Amino acid sequence: MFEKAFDIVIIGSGAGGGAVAKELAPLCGEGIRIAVLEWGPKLRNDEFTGNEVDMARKLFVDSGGMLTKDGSMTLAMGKGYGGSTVSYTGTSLTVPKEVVDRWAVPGLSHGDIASRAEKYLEENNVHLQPEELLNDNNRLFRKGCRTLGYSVEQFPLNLKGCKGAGVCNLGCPNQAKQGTHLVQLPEAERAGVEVVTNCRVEHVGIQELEAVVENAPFGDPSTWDEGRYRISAKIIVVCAGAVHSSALFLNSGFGDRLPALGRYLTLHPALILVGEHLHPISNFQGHPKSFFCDHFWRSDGFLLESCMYYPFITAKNLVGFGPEHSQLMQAFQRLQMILVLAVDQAEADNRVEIDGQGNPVVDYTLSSSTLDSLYLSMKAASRIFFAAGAARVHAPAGERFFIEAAEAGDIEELISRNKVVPGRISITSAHLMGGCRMGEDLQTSVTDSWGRVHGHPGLFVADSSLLPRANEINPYLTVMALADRVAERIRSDIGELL
Amino acid sequence: MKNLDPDTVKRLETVAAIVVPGYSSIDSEGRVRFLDVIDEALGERPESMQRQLALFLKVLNVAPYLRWGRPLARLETVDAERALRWFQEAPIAKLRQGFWGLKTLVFMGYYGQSEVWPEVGYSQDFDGGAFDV
Repeated sequence: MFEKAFDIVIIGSGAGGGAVAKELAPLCGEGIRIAVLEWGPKLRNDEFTGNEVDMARKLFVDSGGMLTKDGSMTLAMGKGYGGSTVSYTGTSLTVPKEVVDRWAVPGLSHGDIASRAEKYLEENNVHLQPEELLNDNNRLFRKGCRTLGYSVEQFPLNLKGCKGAGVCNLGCPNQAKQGTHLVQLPEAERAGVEVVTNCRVEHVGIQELEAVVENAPFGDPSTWDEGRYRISAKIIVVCAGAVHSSALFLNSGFGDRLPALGRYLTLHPALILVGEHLHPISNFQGHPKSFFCDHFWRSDGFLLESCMYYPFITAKNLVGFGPEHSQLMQAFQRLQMILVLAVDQAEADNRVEIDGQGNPVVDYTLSSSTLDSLYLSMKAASRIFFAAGAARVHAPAGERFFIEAAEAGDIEELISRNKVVPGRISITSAHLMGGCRMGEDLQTSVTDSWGRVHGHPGLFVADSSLLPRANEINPYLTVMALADRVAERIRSDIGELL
Repeated sequence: MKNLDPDTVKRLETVAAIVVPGYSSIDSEGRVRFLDVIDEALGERPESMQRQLALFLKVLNVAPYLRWGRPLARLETVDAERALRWFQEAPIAKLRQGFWGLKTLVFMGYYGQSEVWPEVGYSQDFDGGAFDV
């Protein structure tokens, strides 16, 4: 077994790990040794092929096909240099005050998160796309919402030099999306932080951890030789994402000491609806996600977002098969798409566990209130499609495969709550939150509001697993802001911790 | 094939032709690509999943005996679609999920091929030309 020693080790390089690495990097100038250990590889620019199957394999855990324990949802979790910031759409929203108030974490204020988020908005070149760069798919979403009087807002995006390739979720082939792989990690490396890819941490203890380096069949090889490592570190910051941070702690025996570990997982369960227009629209080129509608956020617990996916993902998200399904797929150039995000409640029983081999298992039950939200969202989205001029709509809980424009007035009857059934419709999650939630009570939280694991000085969490409840919007900027807090605490306590 | 035995391939292709009618007219290279994509995807997952797939395909094939007295592979298209639709809407979650998983594999094998993009009108242009309709 190889031996390594650092002062600070950060596990994971996504929104949390990348932000912590960059914030702590100036310490390297004082002789402090910092490493980031990243499970996945660093892809070369020419490896961003835009092919769905190929990129899913390169960018996502289990190729994006990990299922919840009951098989009712798929979970998309990024892996590799930059984590999920490589494969998300770059939407950069500051969490609303009322959401942070609902979290009710002592010592954590909305003002603090918002001011830190502001820093990352600037750092990541976040801006609104100009009108001429919005494609028809997005404009139609806005048009439909406005026609119906639904509130609709434009997403701020972290882009630089976007050419409208339209494959954000497969990693930008033009390196336009300003994720941690392009902003925070390179800056950290320039300051002396060592980023080690293809390095999977299997066990974390007090001031030590064990990891395995094994190169992937793609991307740059790790800078470390393949093999097992024992690594000492006085400060360990776990940023492996909601599922794998919890699983790492559970595999390392922290479950007995931290009863809330892995629990209170929220997922923003999501589904896709499709509307078909009579004429071709610009849809699969141009940024896919320009607008969101929060009109139903408080009343019905869901958000709607413009979106556009690729042939396989689209096919999988339609309910049905055969000639009608093929017919809709062949209308790809005329399709408008809407993504639904349901705001789920944090329940202790929704949790990360580990199986006999130490692999994470996500035990999550879709509640009836979440299914109600998904049902209501299908009706709202269908109305938006028709208000935007769609000729027909495919709703996953439709009584028929297509709802025609002439039937738009009968949406209430044509979309059925009893067809919103897990296992029948495709429900996915790309926003995994909780498991190491912040708080003061050891029974209901894992860390304090600064990401310090209860009872373990020197052990921190800085990723989406900190969220005590759902973020209720796309969470990436919140994760960076929380990671920024964690880094500040480490800097201020560094004298005691080292 | 590393993870698909010949019987499973045969049953999988029967289902593929019902789920994606275009599969029946795919050329031999497309068929190889379809099977390769699925075979590789299965190779990344636990062996238990490969066994579940093989078992589920067997169940799908013989279940129509109960109503039509024939296996899925020998049903008229309209009846084959009806049989699969029963699984999609099945009252038992495991059957619905099994069918959803199978359908997803078929869509991955078929629509995951860039060679199929022209059929659906999808294309990629990484370097501008974003709004030419």
